[in-house]
Amino acid sequence: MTPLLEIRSLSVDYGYGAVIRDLSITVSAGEIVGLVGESGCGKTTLGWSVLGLLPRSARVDGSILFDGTELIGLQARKRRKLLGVRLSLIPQAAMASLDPMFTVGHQIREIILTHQRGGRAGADARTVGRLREVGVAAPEARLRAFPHELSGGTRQRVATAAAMILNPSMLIADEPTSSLDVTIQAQVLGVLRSVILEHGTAVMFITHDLGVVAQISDRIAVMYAGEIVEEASAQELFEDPKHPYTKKLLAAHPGFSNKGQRLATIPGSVPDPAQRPGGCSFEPRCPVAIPLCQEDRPPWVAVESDRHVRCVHCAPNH
Amino acid sequence: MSTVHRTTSLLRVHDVAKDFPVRRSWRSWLGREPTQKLRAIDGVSLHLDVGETLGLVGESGCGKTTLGRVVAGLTQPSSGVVEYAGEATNSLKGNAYRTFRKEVQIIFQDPFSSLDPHQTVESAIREPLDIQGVGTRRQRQARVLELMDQVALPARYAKRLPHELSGGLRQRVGIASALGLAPRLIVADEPTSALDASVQAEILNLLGDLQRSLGMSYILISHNLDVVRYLSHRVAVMYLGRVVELGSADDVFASPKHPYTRALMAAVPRPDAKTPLRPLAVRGEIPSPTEIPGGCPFHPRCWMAQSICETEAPPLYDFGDSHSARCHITAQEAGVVSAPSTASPASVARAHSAPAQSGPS
Ligand SMILES: Nc1ncnc2c1ncn2[C@@H]1O[C@H](COP(=O)(O)OP(=O)(O)OP(=O)(O)O)[C@@H](O)[C@H]1O
Ligand SMILES: Nc1ncnc2c1ncn2[C@@H]1O[C@H](COP(=O)(O)OP(=O)(O)OP(=O)(O)O)[C@@H](O)[C@H]1O
Ligand code: SF4
Ligand code: SF4
Ligand SMILES: [Mg+2]
Ligand SMILES: [Mg+2]
Repeated sequence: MTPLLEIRSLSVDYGYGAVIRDLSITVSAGEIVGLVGESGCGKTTLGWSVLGLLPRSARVDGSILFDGTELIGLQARKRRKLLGVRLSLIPQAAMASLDPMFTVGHQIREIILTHQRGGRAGADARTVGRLREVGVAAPEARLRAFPHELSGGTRQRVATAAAMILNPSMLIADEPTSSLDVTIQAQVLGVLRSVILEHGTAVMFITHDLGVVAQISDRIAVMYAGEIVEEASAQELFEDPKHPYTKKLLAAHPGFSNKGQRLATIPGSVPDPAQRPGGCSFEPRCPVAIPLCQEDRPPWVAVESDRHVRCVHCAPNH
Repeated sequence: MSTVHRTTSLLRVHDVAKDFPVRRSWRSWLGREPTQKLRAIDGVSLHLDVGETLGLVGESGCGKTTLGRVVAGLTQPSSGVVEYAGEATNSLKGNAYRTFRKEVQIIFQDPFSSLDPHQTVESAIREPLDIQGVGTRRQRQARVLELMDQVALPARYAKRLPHELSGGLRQRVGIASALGLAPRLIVADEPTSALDASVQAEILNLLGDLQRSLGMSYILISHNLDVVRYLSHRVAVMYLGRVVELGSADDVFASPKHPYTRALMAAVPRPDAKTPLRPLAVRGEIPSPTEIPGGCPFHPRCWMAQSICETEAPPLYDFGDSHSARCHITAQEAGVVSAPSTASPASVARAHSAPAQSGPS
């Protein structure tokens, strides 16, 4: 399958050192790729690079091909045609993404009417349908609500409905369920899944919730300090994590510990991107580091046909 | 940490309700139609001991944040009373009020809208210390760095502005500012929702340590039931503004009584790709908080509902061991015939053992 999105050797620097470093990943139509990793490791930045939402001051290198079109340096006019229609985002800050001055109904109607012909009534009917699908109570009444009048979870569902309203071919979902209770989360994940199945949407699903990522993803990429350190199918990753960071991350899940037991953590902190160690980025915190790890950046090794790890211990000649 | 007794109640919430006005149409804008009310919380009674963590869970929009804001004194209840250290918070004045505001802190739910966009990380964390005039400027600055270290916020972020921070970094700024004044009670509203498992573990360890060493109390609002189970001594489950189940965390998780609680637990996704999620079928739509169903508010969605559920609002039935739930049918099945006279917090408090002696144990 040819990937719909192909990111090659992407680096991003906001001026404090590279927060994304030589990163490559692909997403195919109909595929859900989960993205997990330490808070601040560059997940949102990666999503924003695809959508062209990074601030002007950010330096971006590499290539992002979307359905054959190079997105880096794409003219603003061409980009606007893609955004919302073919490429869409459920933003991490659902509140910030909704304009406090306008009602929910107005904002979604604007998205529809900017890109498609039709009248207000038709647009509203469509909006109500989508809001109901994502579990918003009394959707007709909610059209008249301003964002601050909604609970955090309802705002999140409104943002989800807005992102999906034009059935985009690629969706970047940045923590789309982290402010939902688990029953509505299950419902929203179900809706996302069925819309994705129906339309063959390619999805990059960013989340901190290991349970959610296990349930929704076909493939999972684990990020650490701006790099992808491991990529595997959901099942392989949870059954047999290979990278030392992945192992530590999974072990920190509070479901594995009892009250009073201290939770497993990872001593130390993420390296400053301005003073990144020469070798493996995880070396200062890695319990199984060897001298070689300080010298060379570990290679991106294929462990099985569709599995990759960036760690010397997985390299064949090790 | 030896003489903390069950009587050292820190907080009591008595029958609290909070209404918000809602507009239904342009007619109400013009004043031609009475503005409708939305009852965000209703008849909520809770208590919290020194050194105790109360987990607060429930459906999105069920009123958890509203309750948290009422407790922290950020908004006044429409009716009912909140007592902090034995005094009604709405009558606190002068020094007593300032002490209350210092001792009760809130970690805000949304790390994106709760920070001042023009304030650097260090000045946001220092602000409460500045306002309360804690120590010298030098000491405050040192305290800021200490706090940043405690919440795993690298010092290189000290001079950054919120827009230069990721969601999880912002959330840690909010946690550090709430901890600065060493409060006695923290309302932690989704404190780790933007954190990965390993940083979350550091924060949860920190909260546990502070509770053991300083006797801090927490109201922990979270959708993450693993986090709630790990940190809480007792758990309150809310549905449409009401507490529908209350009990020790162990009891509520091991044997949930209310069907809504059961639905919640069944919907927790496990961190492995082999256990498919089989959420319990909660039927129908989530009712609008402006039109709360009569009888048991859960009845239109409940798979156990019988005719009594449509007409009679269930009281908090006492299942023993301070475990109570608002469900007629589960109560019948368990042979719980009568409910406690009112769901008085005292009756819940009586049988409740003191968790502060052992910390989370
Ligand atoms: N506009 C900006 N200017 C400067 N630095 C930024 C900017 N936006 C993000 N950063 C920094 O880039 C790094 C990556 O941030 P990003 O938001 O991509 O992380 P993330 O993986 O999404 O984290 P989280 O899980 O906490 O949301 C962080 O160190 C962050 O502080
Ligand atoms: N300022 C306000 N004006 C009008 N309605 C409000 C206001 N604040 C909250 N509400 C309503 O009160 C109800 C409870 O909201 P609250 O934010 O307390 O829920 P929550 O349990 O914290 O939800 P979540 O889990 O989604 O954060 C919701 O229906 C919400 O729309
Ligand atoms: S390459 Fe070395 S330091 Fe890096 S994760 Fe592997 S063992 Fe650890
Ligand atoms: S009282 Fe009836 S409707 Fe309410 S939760 Fe119990 S069984 Fe369901
Ligand atoms: Mg992010
Ligand atoms: Mg809330």
